[in-house]
Amino acid sequence: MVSSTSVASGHEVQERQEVTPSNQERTNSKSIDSQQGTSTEPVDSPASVASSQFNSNIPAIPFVSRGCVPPSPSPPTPTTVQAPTAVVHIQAPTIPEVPAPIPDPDSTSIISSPSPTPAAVSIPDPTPNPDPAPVFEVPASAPANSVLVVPSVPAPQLSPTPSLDSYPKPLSKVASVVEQNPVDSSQLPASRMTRSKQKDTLENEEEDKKVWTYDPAEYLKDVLANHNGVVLVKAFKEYEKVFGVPSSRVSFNWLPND
Amino acid sequence: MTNIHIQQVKINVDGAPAALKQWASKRGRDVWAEPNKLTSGHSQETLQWYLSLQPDSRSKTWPPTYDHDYDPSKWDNLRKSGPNGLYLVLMSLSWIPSSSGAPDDLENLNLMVNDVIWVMNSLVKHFQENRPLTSGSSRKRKSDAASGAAKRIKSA
Repeated sequence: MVSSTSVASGHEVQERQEVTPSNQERTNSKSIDSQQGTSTEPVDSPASVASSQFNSNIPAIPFVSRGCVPPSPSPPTPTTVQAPTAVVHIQAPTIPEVPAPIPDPDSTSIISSPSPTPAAVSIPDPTPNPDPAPVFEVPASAPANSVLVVPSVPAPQLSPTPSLDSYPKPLSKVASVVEQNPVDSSQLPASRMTRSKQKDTLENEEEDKKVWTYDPAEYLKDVLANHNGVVLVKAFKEYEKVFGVPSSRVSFNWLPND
Repeated sequence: MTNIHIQQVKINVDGAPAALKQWASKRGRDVWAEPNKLTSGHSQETLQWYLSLQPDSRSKTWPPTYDHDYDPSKWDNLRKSGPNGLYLVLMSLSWIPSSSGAPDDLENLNLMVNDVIWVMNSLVKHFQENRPLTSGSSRKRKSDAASGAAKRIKSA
């Protein structure tokens, strides 16, 4: 896309050929052309003039074409040079008379091109889009001022809409959940529930398994002999048979059976 | 079995005589040892402690009434068994003759012994009258009856 309208003299071209080694090729091409007899004189064609002017500004850098038709070693003819100028001519189109579509903030399927669009159009996205997948290109046969209708594609969401469930639950909510689902008390270990009761039971078992050196029943019968002790001991033995601890837990001499 | 475990809990000795607390706190309770803290007021202390273990209807007057309105929940304080149960009450009663020779104390001792006898007999009687039948025995009877009927049918 280089356009040049300036005209340079042939001396400048000669100087460029002496300085830049990249122009050695062009010199060779000229020598070839001279062998073919077409032309040995420097040509003041627009393309050569443009390239000469370009190279005169940046003498040390070799010519690199970017998006343009590279300079061919063939003799520069006006037909080959005018290709970019034709593109330049396209760049000044008439203002499109297509009514501007009503901008719909919710819809991204219709993209109008108010700016003059060449045949090959790539829609640049000014906003950084993390998903560069939807790149639409208009075929070359499409008219320049046409309205580009992009197939409706679900708009990529930069960040999904956060819902309440996506946020981490605070501790208070977790505590409430725990309160709503109380743990069954039967699933708790027995050691946590009846620790004191187990302690009492263990103490009782330890005392029960001691070997008693005397018979409590005989002792009570002797001491309370004058106070209805015999009946008392008999009732006490019956009471212990009904409500008492198992005989396997009680040590010797603790209320032996008659 | 659950009732038996409830009975095994220690009897409350908060209001017990000092001599009984000392004796009960000793580790060598299985070995006979005379409590050395016996005082002349041991009889009254034993009486007050014994009444505190009774149901409310029997703890106000002395001698207590003998109309037995048995409610298991009201007798839980006294219905204890084993070396830490009602046996402690009997031991405290047994020390009254050696602690005091007063006639009133000996009279109270006789009343308390008779009351303890009545209480133990009442609890045992109520338990035996209201003892639930075990499911195993009822099943056994039913199975025996069924097998007998089957045998009669076969023989016929």
